[in-house]
Amino acid sequence: MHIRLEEVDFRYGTEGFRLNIPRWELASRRSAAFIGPSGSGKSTLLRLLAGILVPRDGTVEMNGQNLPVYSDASRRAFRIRNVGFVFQDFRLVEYLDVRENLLLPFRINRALELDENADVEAMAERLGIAEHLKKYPAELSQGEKQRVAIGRALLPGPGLVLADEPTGNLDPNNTRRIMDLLLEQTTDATLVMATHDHALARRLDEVMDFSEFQSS
Amino acid sequence: MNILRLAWHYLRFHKAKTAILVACIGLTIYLPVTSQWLVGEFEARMGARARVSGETPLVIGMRGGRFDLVLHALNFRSVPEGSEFGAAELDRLRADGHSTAIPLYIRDHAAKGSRGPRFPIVGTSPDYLELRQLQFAQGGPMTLLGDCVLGAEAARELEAAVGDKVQPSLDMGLEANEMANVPVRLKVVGVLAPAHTADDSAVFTGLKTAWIVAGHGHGHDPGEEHNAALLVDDHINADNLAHFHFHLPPEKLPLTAIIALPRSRDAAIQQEGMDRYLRPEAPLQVLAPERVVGELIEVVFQAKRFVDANQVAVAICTKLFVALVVWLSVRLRREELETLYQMGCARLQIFWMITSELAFIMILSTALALSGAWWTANYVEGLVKGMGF
Repeated sequence: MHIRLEEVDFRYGTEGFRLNIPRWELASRRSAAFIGPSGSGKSTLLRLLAGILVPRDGTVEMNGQNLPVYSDASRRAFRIRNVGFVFQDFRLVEYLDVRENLLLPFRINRALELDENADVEAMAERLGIAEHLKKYPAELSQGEKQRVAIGRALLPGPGLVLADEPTGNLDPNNTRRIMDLLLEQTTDATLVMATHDHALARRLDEVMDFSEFQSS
Repeated sequence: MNILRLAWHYLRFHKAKTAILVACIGLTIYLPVTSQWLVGEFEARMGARARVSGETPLVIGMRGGRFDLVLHALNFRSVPEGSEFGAAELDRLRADGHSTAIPLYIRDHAAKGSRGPRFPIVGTSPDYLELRQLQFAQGGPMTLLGDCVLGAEAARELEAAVGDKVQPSLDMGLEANEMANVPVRLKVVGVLAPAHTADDSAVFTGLKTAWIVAGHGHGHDPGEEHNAALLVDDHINADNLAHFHFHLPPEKLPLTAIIALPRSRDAAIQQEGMDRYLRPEAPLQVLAPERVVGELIEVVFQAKRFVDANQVAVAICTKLFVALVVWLSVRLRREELETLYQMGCARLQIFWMITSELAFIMILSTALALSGAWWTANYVEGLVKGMGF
């Protein structure tokens, strides 16, 4: 997924937080880290890239398509087919077991298709959670939860993976493992990650420092 | 389909929460449904009584509870001890010439076995069957000592048809029957078509037969009447019929009520105004069942109005309760629902998921409430009947 931002101007309300990005581009299958303090707009930009938020002005182009001009339904369709999310707090659904959590994108989106058994088993093997498929999130460690969250994001085969502080709740050991896993598993996708951690950011192809763009 | 699946997963995972919700909502459905059913059942029975009361202009019986006497005459409900009076009153009424008098003597019951339902043995005259315009499904009216006619429900429950014999309850019969060792069995000569009134569950006999069942009369074995031997055979037949007799003078044999059918409006006024019923110290009273039943129905309607008002309150509370639950649920699950949205789930789909969960809960609650109401209905039906309504 090739990303191109130009003269992006986003604001919460009329007086609230404002984000300005003159120009930024990321080639397909490359990775980028957004780094900056809390409240600097990293998560906001991830949401703009996913088409959840729409800027007041400017271009948010994905593979040549300018997302803001599309309707909410079209941007949702884009999200379903192209975007995988990994959250800091995992956001697993507590009442679904690991298998159903992995399958959640397919349960809520009829447009997605998969070979349920083969694909889920293969993904679980790749992430090292095959023995946990029948467990519920409450029965997993933090690291295991994040593996499931990564599996859920990757199973539909998205062209763009957006990870918002994916290691923010993990210890250093798990942080390294999850980061390795994320980079290994997203070689076919464009990866954009928001983080506070400069060391992690340096492992990605590009780093965008948000202090350059933010103004309030 | 997948949204339903998610909804079901949610409810299954939160079993305790779901069970509490189902129980609470089920209860809020169960209570009004059951109370509505109870009032409806009561109202229907009182309506049937009102129809019958219209055919029963006056009832005469021992002074005391007005409802007791009317329900006894209309519904064959037992009367308290000491409510019997001498049959001489019947002769006096007939001598007055204002009314046609139909005697009632109801004390004993017939039953199938010791634990089966009991049906009142109603000692009366064939005029009673005419008064109520009761139709025969089988056979005809009682004519001989020992004959009986069964109401439709009594016949069904006692599993008896014309030619069979029915047994008065042994406990009642033996307790009070001082003159016979075994209460006589009654020969079924007729079975009535359903009338949907208390008549359906009655065992009608002649007055003398009811007195014999109660122990006020007895028979001897043919040829042994001088040694006072009690009847060995336990039913009255052509051979022993003539050997039955009473040791009390006819005017002292007991009645529990008399239905009086005045010959005219003036006759009714005269009958009701007779000094022997109006004096405060008079042992007997005369009542117009229609008025008494009307009072009872008014009580039922007041109860119904109260129940209806409560139902409105319960319905409002239920709606507020469900709205609160949904609101709290959405608040508690805001992060989950937002995640679903970010993953591409439409807001409408999320709405349908919550609605489906609610629908599952409502279906389970309704099923629970209706099962409970059905179970209670059977119990309440017996209760209402047992109360004599």
